[in-house]
Amino acid sequence: MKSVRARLIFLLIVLAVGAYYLYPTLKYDRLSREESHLLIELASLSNLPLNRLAADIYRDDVDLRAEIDSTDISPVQKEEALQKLDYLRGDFLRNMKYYRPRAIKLGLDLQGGMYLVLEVDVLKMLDNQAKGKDEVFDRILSRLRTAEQTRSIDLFDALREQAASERATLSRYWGEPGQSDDAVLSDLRKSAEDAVDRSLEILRNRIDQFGVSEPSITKLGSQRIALELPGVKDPARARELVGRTALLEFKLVVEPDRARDILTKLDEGVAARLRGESADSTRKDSSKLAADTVKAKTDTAQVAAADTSRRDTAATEAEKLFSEQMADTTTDTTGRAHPFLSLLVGGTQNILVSAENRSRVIRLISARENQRMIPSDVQFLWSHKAMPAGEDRKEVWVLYLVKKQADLTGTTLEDAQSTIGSGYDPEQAGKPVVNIKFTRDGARTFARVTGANVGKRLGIVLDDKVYMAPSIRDKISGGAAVITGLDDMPEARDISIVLRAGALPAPVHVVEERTVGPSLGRDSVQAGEFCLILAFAAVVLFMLWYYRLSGAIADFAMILNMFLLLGVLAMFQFTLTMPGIAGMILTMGMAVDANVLIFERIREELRLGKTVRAAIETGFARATVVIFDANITTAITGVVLLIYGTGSIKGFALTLTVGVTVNVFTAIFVTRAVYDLFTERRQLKTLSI
Amino acid sequence: MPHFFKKTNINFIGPRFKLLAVTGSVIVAGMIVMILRGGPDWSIDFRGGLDMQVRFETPVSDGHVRAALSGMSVGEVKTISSLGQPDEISVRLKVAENSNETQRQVMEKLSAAFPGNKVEVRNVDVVGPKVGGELRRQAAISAIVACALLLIYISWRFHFEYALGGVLGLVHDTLLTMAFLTFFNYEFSLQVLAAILTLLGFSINDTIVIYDRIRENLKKLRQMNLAEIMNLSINETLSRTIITSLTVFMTVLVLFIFGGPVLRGFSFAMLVGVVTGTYSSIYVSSPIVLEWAQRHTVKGKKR
Repeated sequence: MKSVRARLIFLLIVLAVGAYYLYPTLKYDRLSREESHLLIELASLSNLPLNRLAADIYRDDVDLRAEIDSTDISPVQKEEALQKLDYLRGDFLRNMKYYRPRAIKLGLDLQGGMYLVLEVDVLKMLDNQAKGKDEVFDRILSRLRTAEQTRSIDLFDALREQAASERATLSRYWGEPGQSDDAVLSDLRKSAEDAVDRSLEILRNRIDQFGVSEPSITKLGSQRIALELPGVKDPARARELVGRTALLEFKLVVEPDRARDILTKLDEGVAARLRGESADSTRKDSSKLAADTVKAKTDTAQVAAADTSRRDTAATEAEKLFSEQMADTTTDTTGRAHPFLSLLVGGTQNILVSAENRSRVIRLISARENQRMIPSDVQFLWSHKAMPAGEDRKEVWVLYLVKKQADLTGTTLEDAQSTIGSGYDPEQAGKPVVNIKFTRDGARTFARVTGANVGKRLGIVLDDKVYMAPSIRDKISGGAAVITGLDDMPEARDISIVLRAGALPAPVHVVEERTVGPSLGRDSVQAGEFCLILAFAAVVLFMLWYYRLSGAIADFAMILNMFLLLGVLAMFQFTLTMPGIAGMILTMGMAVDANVLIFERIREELRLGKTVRAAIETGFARATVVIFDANITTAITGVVLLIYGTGSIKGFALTLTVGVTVNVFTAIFVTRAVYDLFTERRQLKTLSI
Repeated sequence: MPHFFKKTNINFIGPRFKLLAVTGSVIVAGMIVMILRGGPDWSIDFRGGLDMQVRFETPVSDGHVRAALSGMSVGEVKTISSLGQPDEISVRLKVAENSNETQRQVMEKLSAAFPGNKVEVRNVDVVGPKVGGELRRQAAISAIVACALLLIYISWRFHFEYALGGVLGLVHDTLLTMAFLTFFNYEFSLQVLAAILTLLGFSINDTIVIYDRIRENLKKLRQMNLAEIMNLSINETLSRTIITSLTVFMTVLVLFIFGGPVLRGFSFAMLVGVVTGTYSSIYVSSPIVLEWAQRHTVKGKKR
């Protein structure tokens, strides 16, 4: 494009395209400012709390109109408030909905929110699916577990290797008898893939119901799921919501007589084992056991160390506390004679364990030697939380001995709703509960199970924690049940959400989390804007001072650079992050450098005595080469970062790469066009440079 | 019209060995300190772990927070100050199987230890040990790939010894920046990695401007020897070098002062990097080209 006019027209087109893509961002920014203004006004008019308004304003299931209507404020005020409400929910909302998706998105670090990477525990899934487990199987699995926790491996390749080294065929545990290892592995691979896909759908379902605006849920590699949850107010709840498996099971509690037998046998077994060993080796042994223990129960690690030495005193303390309740149990007073039973506090109905003793009990019942003494059809489960008991309301946990086989699971659930309980039952009335409803099949099974077990207790178990274990008084044929014992309404709501969305096919673990509180996000935006403006101003002024009129041209090119960079971000729906802003600031440096290269070269040529036009000509020609080389090398690192970087680095690499590309255009094309515009008609004697 | 430099004639090439000895010993000192401390100070990004940043309504000391969290596997507890902002406290913990539970316990203990003092979670980073290892590997791969591509590109545009000089200049910059990060107790995080990769871009940019002038002068001034041409080229581009480095330094300084704790490590590495990047183009990359050319070509032949 030789002619100056053609180049200027091209430049104008580029500007127009940039403006077209940037307009929604500006508009959206204005709208969100207007929104906060309107909300504050509405809050003061209607006497409703601001944060409530902010949370509920656009929800269809909340009738704010009726609420405002029912408050006792003056009719004039009411009229105005209702008008504002209608505007916000009408025209304004439509505008927001139109512009928001077209505006530049802010990353989680700028708007606050949560980034979670969950890993689906495929190994656990394999464990669950396996049949005929034996010691070889245990060995293979535990080796896979350690391998998986320390480095990234292909689980299935490792499984093949481990099985080969144990000379075991995989069809012993999975698939059809006689099936080849390859066939079993490919089936397992498929079912793992399927499990991850299903988990993703279930998580999406949960998140949607949790109410996060514009979440993003994507698969990351073969076993991981990345969740982006912008603007999450309560990260702990969100983490709990996505992290739980939500496996609901109904399990019969083992009858007291049999339970007592099992406990006594276990106690005797432990005592017999301990008698043979000195006190010192016991301690060593138990700490070794602790290391073996499947770390499913969470709070063992920290308490464990201190606990061993304290157990005797703790046990006697607990005995004193619950002396009346202990009357009917077989507990002896010394921990040595009854190493297991002395840790328990028996009530008439429940086995209670004080908070101090819990980790010790966990270790005892999960130790491999002791597991053998527990009949294979039953298992120990804990209550979902500690509750105060005894005279001084000390925290105790309930230990349940239940049938391993679930009589009914959450798959037969039709619906779950959180509500405030009613009726006369003190466990329910006025407390948050979750009402569950079974499908027709589920209702039939439930009726059969309850009918056959009148007088026994049925544990309602969610993710291996017992929420309640009521006695069955009658056959229940209505196909409905209630979960009680919940802390608060949010918990009830979250449990109903996960129950409706269904259980994950395998447990998930958080392997990476980045949470930015909303206040930090706000601070970062402010800091970012401030830095950008300050750096910008400093560079603009410096260029004006050092290069005069040419400096103004450079400044124009730099502004254009930022404008086009943002335009490209908006056009391709890229996300702007804090490192992204840093990338923009660095781009500014590159833009200045390109112009400095050109100007210094022109100055040199002028010093050699060339005419203005010739100096510009050679200056640009020489500088162009080096600008290309310099920007391409920077772009190389940018692209490498884009490909291999993760998370925050990507945001930085993105703005840098786009910025460098735009830079070549503004420096070589735009600056040149402006120069030519000035020198085309007039024969300049001097150049302001 | 203001000019910093009109026409300079500084002998850059002459004292190259003395200056290399200086920065070389800084690098060695940095490496020794790093080794004495048991390797680079990896952030949880690369090491794995849990980092919570909390802010109290009325600031408390990190010692008190550490005391409040006794009984948990707490690593580092430190105060983070930033300009015009209340202090924050960063708590490092070993990552447990259930990071949610660990976080809950921290918050419980903190609100129990400082009743009436509202505590707010500003930032949480959890990186599983496996992910940490993966990130470390990715970082290494990106550095190697970037260097390889640069080597190829510069070899193509200039000549192999230029590429070698450029990349060794980058190695020098990386090591020197890491030495400074170690001296000033900055940890090696993802952000710092990004900063190092950027400063590599800047450093190579700077190097290429000088190389470009050498390439041009080699064609123009055939009677001069390479050392003279290098000195001339560095002097000719000095004005541009100083102006660009100054403006970039200025923008990064703004980030360092006002960018908040999120960008502190990043901007510090950049501050050091801008200086070393400029320095290495003159005193590392160019001399390497000179030494190589003097050893590998017959006298009088070009390059």
